[in-house]
Amino acid sequence: MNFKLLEKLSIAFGPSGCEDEVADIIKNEVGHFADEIITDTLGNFIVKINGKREQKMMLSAHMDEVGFMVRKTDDLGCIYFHTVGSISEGALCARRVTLKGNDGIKYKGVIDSKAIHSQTAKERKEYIPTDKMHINIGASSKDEVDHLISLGDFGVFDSDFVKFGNGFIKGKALDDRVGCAVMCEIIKKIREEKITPEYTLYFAFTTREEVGRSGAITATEAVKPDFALILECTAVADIPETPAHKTVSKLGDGVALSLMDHSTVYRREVIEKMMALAKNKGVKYQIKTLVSGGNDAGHIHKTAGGVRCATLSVPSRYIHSDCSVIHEDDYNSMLDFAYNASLSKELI
Amino acid sequence: MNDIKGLLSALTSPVTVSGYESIAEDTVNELCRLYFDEVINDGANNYQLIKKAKTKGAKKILIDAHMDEVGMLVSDILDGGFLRVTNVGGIDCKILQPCEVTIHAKEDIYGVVSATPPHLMSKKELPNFDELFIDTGFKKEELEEKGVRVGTPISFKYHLTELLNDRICGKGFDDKICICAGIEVVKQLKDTDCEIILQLSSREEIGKSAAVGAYNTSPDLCVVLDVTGAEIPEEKDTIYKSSVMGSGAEISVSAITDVKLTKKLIKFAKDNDFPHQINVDGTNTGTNANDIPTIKCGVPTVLLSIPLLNMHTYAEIISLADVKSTASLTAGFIKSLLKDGAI
Repeated sequence: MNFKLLEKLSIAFGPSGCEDEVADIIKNEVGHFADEIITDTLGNFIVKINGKREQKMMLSAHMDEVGFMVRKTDDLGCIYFHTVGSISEGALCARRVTLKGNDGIKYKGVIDSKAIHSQTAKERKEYIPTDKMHINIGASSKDEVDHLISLGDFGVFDSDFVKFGNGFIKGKALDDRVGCAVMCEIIKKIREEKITPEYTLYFAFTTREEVGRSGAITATEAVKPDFALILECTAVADIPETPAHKTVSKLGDGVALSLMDHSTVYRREVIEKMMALAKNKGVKYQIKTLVSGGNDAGHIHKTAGGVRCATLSVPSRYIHSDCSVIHEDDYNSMLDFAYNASLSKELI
Repeated sequence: MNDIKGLLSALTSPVTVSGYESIAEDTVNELCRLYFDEVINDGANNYQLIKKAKTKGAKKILIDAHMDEVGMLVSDILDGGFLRVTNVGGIDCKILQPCEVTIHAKEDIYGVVSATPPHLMSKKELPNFDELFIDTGFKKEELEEKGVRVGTPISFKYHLTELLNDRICGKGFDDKICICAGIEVVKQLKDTDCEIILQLSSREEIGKSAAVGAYNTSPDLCVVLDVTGAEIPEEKDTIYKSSVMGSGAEISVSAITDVKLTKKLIKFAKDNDFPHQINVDGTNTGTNANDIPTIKCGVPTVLLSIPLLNMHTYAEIISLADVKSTASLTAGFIKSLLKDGAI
């Protein structure tokens, strides 16, 4: 796996609706390999690779990450915020963030809230609601902060990329920069090995998955694929004292193939084809064992006249936080599975 | 270690979970070499850095800032490389799920405190400490080989972030930022004839051992330097007044510390235009200043605190301007007391 690329993508600034920085990295990495590049008003970036046949396979991964939006400033220089996408209240207090302010200047900040010493007995037992937290960039007055930051400005977690233990990786935005990184690696591999794929391939780097998946809808309309493979990152809980049936998947056991989630019931014949492909190519994978989460497939499968879909997800602990954790074996297994899928002759 | 930021970095990068203060012994010895004549490590693990007076019989000033920080200890090593932990000092579970930590075994090991995804949580209640695990990514046997045992200390991962207006963010600023202020005081009292004892006290977060140092050194005056919660909008207009960051030291008024001396300190700050704020602590300061005044036949004690946000987290914020003005106020006040023969 290309750690450098995943690191670059992980630390990039790209909350839903503000994915340009991520799109630029992808464009620099693989733009020159495209037979055609398709972009649209929602910020999608689509790389087309011509195949032997006209039939279209779309691989898709979303570029956006969960983040923050400035909603109000205060006399003390505090910045109140909305979360962009779902972030649990327990993953916010005291976390470091980056805000992109006026003229695109970035500011380091920290999410402040009432310290444990001043909380009442009741408050100590509860999560602090988001509207009682604020971002502190060090500004000391409303005038000062208003000069630097505007209402509606975006922010993301500030978190470095760390390799730890036996093959584990911690970072922010691994959901879904892992999908983006895998697609970049597949495009490079196809070009470097001078392979002409069976189907015409569209690699759709989509926007706004975390806030309603509008990017996936317009990308699907633009491509009108015959088959779509969604590359994602899914929340798992393979931690002690979680009942086995609730762990979803296990880190290190390979990429997870979805049968059903909260947005899609995948067509059985597609699942069977995916499983046959994996068996045939000796690809390591696991089945996602709990109906949980959702992804771009939820909209793709019912857009542009209906699309057959499959989803592969890298399992992630502590997703939608500044410390998401994945295993490199699962990344490699997604790369292996998706690469073989992109060259297959049987999926459509 | 010449400027405050460098010194703070040298002090906060080693972990000194309460009771494990001597992990930072090298830093303490280096401080002694730079600014003091002698260092004592007493039976309660307090360090006293002593700068001797020029003349015999000169007054003894004790400046206390605590060396320990909140943290965790390993309580069990589970299969799959997860650790069960217990907290040392008051840690808010709201900042833990997930967060980065360092496990201080034979080598430092990286870890992430585990979190259950919201869609798998049956109730939205805060976990207890015994429901949290540290994810190390190693196998149990590997952790044991690396020296992880029950009792191995764990600290929040060290990150120092600079914000606007010379405000900085990191871990362990409670109370190491006050050790920095203490060093500034010592620098400013370079030519003043008195013995200065800068005490880096132990276990403030879990029971407080600082009084041992006062007992052993019998000072004529004690200045306790600690941190105080800086104001946030949610506490505005409440009776729980807190001090504003960037507006100078908070002087504590209480029935525990020396009432007359505290009045003198406030007057001194006013007369000499030192930025300062007053907080009425009543009968409990929550600091080492609770214990030191009653040692032996009594120690005249005042308490100054530096405003700090997100106390007991890995993202404590302070203003360097407050640190500098607190040090100047403390040094100026000590000089004036000595000059007037008031102690």
